[in-house]
Order: sequence, then structure tokens, then C-alpha cells
Amino acid sequence: MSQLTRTFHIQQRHVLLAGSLLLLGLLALSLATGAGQYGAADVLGFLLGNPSSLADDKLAMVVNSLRLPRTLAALLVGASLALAATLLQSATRNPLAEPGLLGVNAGAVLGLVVGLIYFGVESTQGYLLWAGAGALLGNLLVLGIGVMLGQASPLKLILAGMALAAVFGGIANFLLLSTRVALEQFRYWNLGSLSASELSAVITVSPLALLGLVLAALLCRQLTLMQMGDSQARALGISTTWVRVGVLLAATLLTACAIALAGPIGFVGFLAAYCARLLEPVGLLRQLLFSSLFGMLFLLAADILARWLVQPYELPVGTLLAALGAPALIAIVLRGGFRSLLAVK
Amino acid sequence: MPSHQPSGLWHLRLGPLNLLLHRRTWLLSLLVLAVLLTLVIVAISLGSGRMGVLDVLATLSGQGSKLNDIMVFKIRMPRVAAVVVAGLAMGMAGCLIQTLVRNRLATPDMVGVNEGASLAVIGFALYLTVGSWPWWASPLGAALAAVALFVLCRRPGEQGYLFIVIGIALSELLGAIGDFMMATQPLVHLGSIYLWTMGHFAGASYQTVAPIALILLALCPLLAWLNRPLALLRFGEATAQNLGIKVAALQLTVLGVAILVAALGTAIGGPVIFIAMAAPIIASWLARDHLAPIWLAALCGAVLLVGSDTLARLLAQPEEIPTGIMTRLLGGVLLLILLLKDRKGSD
Amino acid sequence: MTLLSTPIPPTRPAQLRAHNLSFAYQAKRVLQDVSFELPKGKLIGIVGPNGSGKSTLLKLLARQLPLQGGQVELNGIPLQRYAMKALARELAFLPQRPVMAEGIRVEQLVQYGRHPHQGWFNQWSAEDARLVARARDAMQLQDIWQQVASSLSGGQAQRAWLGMILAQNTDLVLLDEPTSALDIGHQSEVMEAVLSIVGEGRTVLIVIHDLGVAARYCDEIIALDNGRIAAMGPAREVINKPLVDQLYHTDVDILAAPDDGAPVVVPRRRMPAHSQQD
Repeated sequence: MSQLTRTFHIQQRHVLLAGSLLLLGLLALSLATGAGQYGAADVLGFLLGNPSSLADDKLAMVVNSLRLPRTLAALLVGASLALAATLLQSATRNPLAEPGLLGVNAGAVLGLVVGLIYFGVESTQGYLLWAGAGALLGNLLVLGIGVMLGQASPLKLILAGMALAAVFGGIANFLLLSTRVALEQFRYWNLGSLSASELSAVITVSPLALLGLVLAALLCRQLTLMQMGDSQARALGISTTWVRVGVLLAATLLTACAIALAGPIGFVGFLAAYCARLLEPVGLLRQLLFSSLFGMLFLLAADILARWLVQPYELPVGTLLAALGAPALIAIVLRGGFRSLLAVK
Repeated sequence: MPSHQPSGLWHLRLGPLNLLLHRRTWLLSLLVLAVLLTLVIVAISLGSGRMGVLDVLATLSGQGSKLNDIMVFKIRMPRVAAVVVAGLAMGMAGCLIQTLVRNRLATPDMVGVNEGASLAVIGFALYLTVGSWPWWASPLGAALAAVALFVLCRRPGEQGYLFIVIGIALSELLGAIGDFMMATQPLVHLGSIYLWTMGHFAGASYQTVAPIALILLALCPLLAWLNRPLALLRFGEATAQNLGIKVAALQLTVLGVAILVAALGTAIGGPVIFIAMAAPIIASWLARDHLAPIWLAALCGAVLLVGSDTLARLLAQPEEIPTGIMTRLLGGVLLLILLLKDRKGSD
Repeated sequence: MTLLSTPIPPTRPAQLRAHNLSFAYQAKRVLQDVSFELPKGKLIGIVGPNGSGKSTLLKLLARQLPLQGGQVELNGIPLQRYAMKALARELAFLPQRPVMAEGIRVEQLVQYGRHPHQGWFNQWSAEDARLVARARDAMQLQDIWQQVASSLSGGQAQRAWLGMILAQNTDLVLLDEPTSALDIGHQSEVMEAVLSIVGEGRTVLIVIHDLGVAARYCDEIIALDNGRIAAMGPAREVINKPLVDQLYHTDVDILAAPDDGAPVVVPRRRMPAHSQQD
């Protein structure tokens, strides 16, 4: 906690302020965007308790069951993915780590497919359970392999993640195609979208995400110290295995929540974590703070774009993020990001 | 006067020609070819409407019944031929890339070229030539993706990991767009595209296979010619240049040919990933030579793919699983094993 | 190391001339106005302090670096005019830390040295067989002939590389610090191997950072200081105290080796030995 009470740099303060304002702006925009004729004024009126707005049933439906849950989901998913990415990057000491690239998403997908086909899951809790179990399995395997590979080759971890994603994806596709159950609904879900967000789902998922966040916050100090190296951390009395387990659990909880709500979404976590690390290279707690802020901003912005770009239709936000995030990653890497990592042949 | 005869090699003298053939490799190649032919016959005999192996042999030698004739020559043979050609191509491409990049984890699969090919096919099938697509659509998409990759990373031999990261990003991007375009259509409208993008040979016809097989055949002399200087690239640029090799030109040519061959192989039945990675490794292990021999790698690729295809056909009967899913599964496991095995050593 | 009973004299002793060579890495000037004509049939050592441009000079002569200023002539023809393989038949270059291909045997390595003389249609000839056998015998590689090259000791590996160079059968051989990472035993092993190559009438140009080794073995010396030639000529004349002081800023004694009179460079101690203080 002392990290937070330490004074923020000027730059960080500016970013916090600007970010928060931007967030509020995007919130408003998100509530105002969407198919249908209701604009910002109407929605604002509804939220503020304007009686004439309240009387409009259609407006109520649009806000309550479409825009509000969606906006809240965007906040939750964005923050969760960003936090999970920051945690994974810290725990694996690999700046390229993120749930999408490490096969964690693929694990969750497989879990969900198994649940869909063999257990006929339909409720949000069901999705959460199966996606969570799959994410946990994926996480365990990836981090286990990471431990076995050692710290010497961080890029091999990415390759291992891709291999795992291939295996999980292969099994999932095999099951879907051989049983032909849920194939259509799965295909669209697989793109990652916030359009099916329900308020009840958000409410169910929030406590778990919060649990993940609290767990991460508690382990922050130890994880920061572990950045110096395991042996040094152990000399300071930190039990590195348990910390890693805890962080893994936290990251899994957060990822599972995100996937349960919106399907597999990549790049948000990575970009948010990257920007957070640019702003705060050392203190993990602060990285988590900035990371969640950026995550919410990016996802909210992407979701608004997704709704606005091809009105009255909408793009799945996962596709949009891939279209924007991949070039961003390429640009970062070409401009010299991760130079030390990539200099190793 | 002391004279040295290279060990393990056959010295073939044909008039002015003086060729050196690696004995073990050539013997093994013949062996693997025999295995391939056996597998092909078995593959033809399997499937719905089972035929005995003897029936197949009879039909092939012109003595089968009319029904069997149709079954074998019109239905099963084109498919198996397609699988064999695709496997040969992927084995060759993988071998070239691994020798060039000096890294057994290198494969043309994970760099976005496959997704580019799929995207082109999806684009054609959904928006241009409704339903089907010309055989050159896939290589075109692959070529464009490869060009994008090269524009972004000019020296894959030296910047191995940069190449991989950019490749991953590119594959995520193109894959997402392709998935999205497909998701906008219900499955029934997609017809064979969806399965093709996962590597599927069911609808393969001679129309697609023939031009590709001819191009690959035409490339063979080039590959044979590239084989010798390519072996010298393993010694690094300075030594290779000392021995008279134009290093930069050779690297670019090999990479271009590798991606072309991979694109052609992909055009037949869609992306069948990991064959290009696995085949050269198996060939190198068989030949006990760290430099994977290219023809042996091609044959191993064909054997692997025919095996995967047959497995895919059998495992989920009566539904057909795209072959690519099988190769993805098995290949992913192989990649993991390789990563773990290599962990103490260098790449 | 025995000299071969029938040495094969170079058919056309190669003539290497450098005119006003200059080179700069980005903004840093490494070579300035270097000109010389290489004496034929000798072992010539390029010496100089770190950063004096020794390796750069060698690489320019081997066409491993592009010419920036000046000209290099091989047998009267500018270096750039040679086709790759043609140059490989005239001039052999061994880099400082050559990359060894994995899993390759010594036999295969030496055979690869014949590549510039072979073509796709002529992959092995009687000449190849003879020269590979000669290289094997000259470098005494018989005992390690079938061994995997990456499992060799430092000295053995260098001899294997020299075997490849010898099989290349060029009049000119350029070696970049072949003895840097070796202990005194292996150093001696490699330098004797180099001497036997010179003994066949070839011209060997070698970059050595150890002045003592250069003085002991080389016939001629080119001394570089800050990218320019500080001295050039027979080792016994060139290596003297003023030169050593100019290049290395250190005080030395120059003795004559008991067997052949070659200069032996002995650094003077400033701190007395402990035993003298008791």
C-alpha cells in the first residue's frame, strides 16, 4: 500500500486525471451509442430520473437491458484482461505474455466447448464454471511449461502457448465438428463480442473478478520483489512458489470472468499492460492501477467503435481489437520495443 | 598418391556428370516411398464403402469392376493424390525454412501466410466467385501476406525472433478478419469454405491438384540446384561467402521458394499446419544427418499427411473431421515436446 | 608438423595490392589511407592495439566488407570484378569465430573446402579426392577424421578449419585471429599448421593481437596504429622497442629466440616480484 501513498510523478498524475475524464466521457458515449434513436440526452434523462424519460418503456429497455449492461461489461472485461496480462507478465517476466497469446484463452474455449457439448450449459454461471476450469487448466499448463523452460528463453514460452492453443483448439474443433452441436453459436461467440451482455451476468461475475483483484493486490509487494530474481526474493523470505500460485489463481479468475462475459478477446490485455509499464516500470500495484484504467479505456473505445462503424450493424469487438491491436504490436516491435528480448536469436 | 573417398556417399559417374549421393538418404528415401505407396493403397481402400486392399490393387491394374473403377479413380484417388502432393510440398517448404533459419522450430505455418491464404479464399468464395474459388486464389493470398511480412522484417535469417513475433501478430490479424467474414454467414452458405480453412481434402479434384503438381515439378530442378549452396549457409555468412556463395541472394531465393511451395501446398486442401515443421525433423532423424535432406523431408511430409488424413477420416465416422485439425493436434504436441527437449541447449 | 615431400608450388603467385584504403563504421573512422603490396610466399602478421583496424583491413581484402574508399587489386584486377566463386578459388578467408554447422564431421568440413572448384554437374573429381587427402595429412586430421566437429578441442577445431582452407587450394590465405582463444599448447599447434601452409609456397596474411606470437612466427609484419600503417617489413627489423612503445605504450625487452633468432617480446615488470622483497 505504501506504493500508492508515494507521490505520483507529474506525468502519472496527468495521465490519471486525463484517463479518468476520458473514461467518464467514454461512459457517456457508450450509453449514447447504439442502434435505435436514443441519444445521449435521452439516456442521461433516464439515468437522472427524469419522469418523462422513465415513462418511456422502450428507452428503459434499451438502457437497462442493452446499453447499461454492455457498458458495465466493457469496464469489467477491459479491466480484468488488463490486470490478468499485467500479472502474467510479472509472473513469467515476459513482456509479451497475455492471456490471448499464451493459450489461456484457448483453454477456456476448450472448457466451454466441453461444457456446451457434453453438459448442455446455458447459464452464465455455467459458462463461467466451464470457461474458468478451462482457463485454469490452460494457465497451469502454460506456466508449468514456463517453469520447465526456465527463464532463458521467454519467446519459447510464447511458442509453447501457441502450441497449447493449437492442441486445445484442435480438440475443441474436433469435438464441435464431430458432434455438430453448438457449432453455430460457438463460431460467433469465438470472435469475442459484448453484444450479448446481460446485467445479471455482470452481477454474477463481479464478485469473482473482485476476488481476483484483491488477491492480486495482496500479493503485489511480493511479486514486485520477485522481479529481481527468485533467489534474491527467497533470501528476503518470500516463498516464490506460493506467490506464483496465488498470482496464477488471480489471473485465471480474471480471465475466466472476462471470457465468460465476452468470449475470447485478445490484445487489450497486452496493450494496456504495455502502456502501464511504460508509465510505471517498477511498482506493480501502480502498474495494476494504470493497466486496469487503460484496459477499460481501450475496450470501451473499441466497443463504441464496433457499434458505430457499420451502423446499424455492429462488428464483434474481438475482431476490431485484432484489426487494431496487431498493427499496434507490430509497430511497437518495429520501433524497438522488447529489443533485448528480440536480440536473442 | 593418397586419395580420399567421401564416406557414406555414392559416387555416380555418368559421362561428364559426377554426382555424389548420400547413401543412407537415398536408401531411406526409397524405403519411405514404399511406405507412402502402401499407405496410399490402404487409404484408398478405407472409408465408407470399404474396399479390400486386393480389390484396390486389382482396380489399379485395370481388372476391377466398373463400380470399383469409379470408386477408386473418380472419388478416392483424386483425394489421396491431393493429400500426397500437399504433403510433399509442405515437407519441402519446411525443410528449406529450417535450414535457412537454422532453427528447428521454424515453420512457414505460424507467420500469417496461411491466414492470408484463407482470407483470400474466403474473400473470393463469399464475395467474388460465389461458392467456389480459382486454384490460384489461395497462393495469391499467401503471397500477399508473405510480401507484407517481408516489408516488415527484411532479414529473417538474422532477426529470427522479430520475424516470429511479427508473424504471430499478422496471423492473429488476418485470422480474425477471416473468422469474422465467415461468421457473418450461416454455416449452410459457407459450404466447403469453412472446412477448407481448417485443412480439408474431401472435395479435392484434379482440377486443383494438377496445375499445382506441375508447378512443383517444374520447381524441382531449382530445388536440386539450391540444395548444395544451402547446405553451406549453415556455416554462417562469412564462411559461406568465403566458399563462393552469394549469401544475400541465396537467402532471399530460398525464402521465396519456400513460401511459394508452402503456398502451393496450402492451395490444395487448405492450411495443414505443422507438417512443414515435423517432416524435416523426422527426415533428419532418419538420415542421422543434422541437415534434413529435402527429398526425404518431402516424402516424410507426404507420409505424415496421408496418415493424418486417414486418421481424420476414420476417427469421427460418419462425420468427416478436417485433416488440418488432426495435424494441428499432433503437431502442437510435437512442438511442445521439441520445446521441452531443447530447453537446455540452444535453439 | 612435417612438410609434404612434394609441395605444390603456386602456379601463379598471387599478387595482392591495396591502394589508399579507408573505412568507417557509421561515424567512426577505422582505416585511413592504407596502401601496401603484399610480399609473396610469406607469413605476414597484422598487429596493432585494439581498435586499430586489423580485422577491418583483413575483411576488406577478403571482400567480406564493401569497399568505401580506395582500391584492392588481386593479380592486377580490381577485387570487385571477380565473380564469387572465382574469388573463392584465389583467396581463402577464415573469420575470427567461425560458425560450425551442427552435427558435421571433420571429413565433411574439409570436403566443403572444395566447393568453389565444383559445380552441380561436377560434384567430385580426382583432383578433389587428392587435395582433400593432402589437407587431411598436412593438418594431421586422421585421428579425428570421423569425429563431430563441435566436440573437438579448440586447437583441433582450428586445425579442422585450416584443413578446409587448405582443401580450398588458394594461393592467398587470410586468417582472422585464429589463435585468440587458445592456450599456449593449442596456439603452438595452430601456428605450426599455419607455417606448413606457408611452406607450400602460399601467402598467408594473419591478424594476431598477441605481439609475442606474431614476432615468433611471422616472416613479415604490418603494424597498424589508429587505422594507419605504422610500420611494415621483416619481423626482425620492424619489431623494436620504439614501435612497441608507440603501439602499446609499454616497455619491453626484445630478445632473440635460441633456435632461430626470431624476436621474442618480453614485457618489463614495474612491480618487483614478491620473493625479492623478503
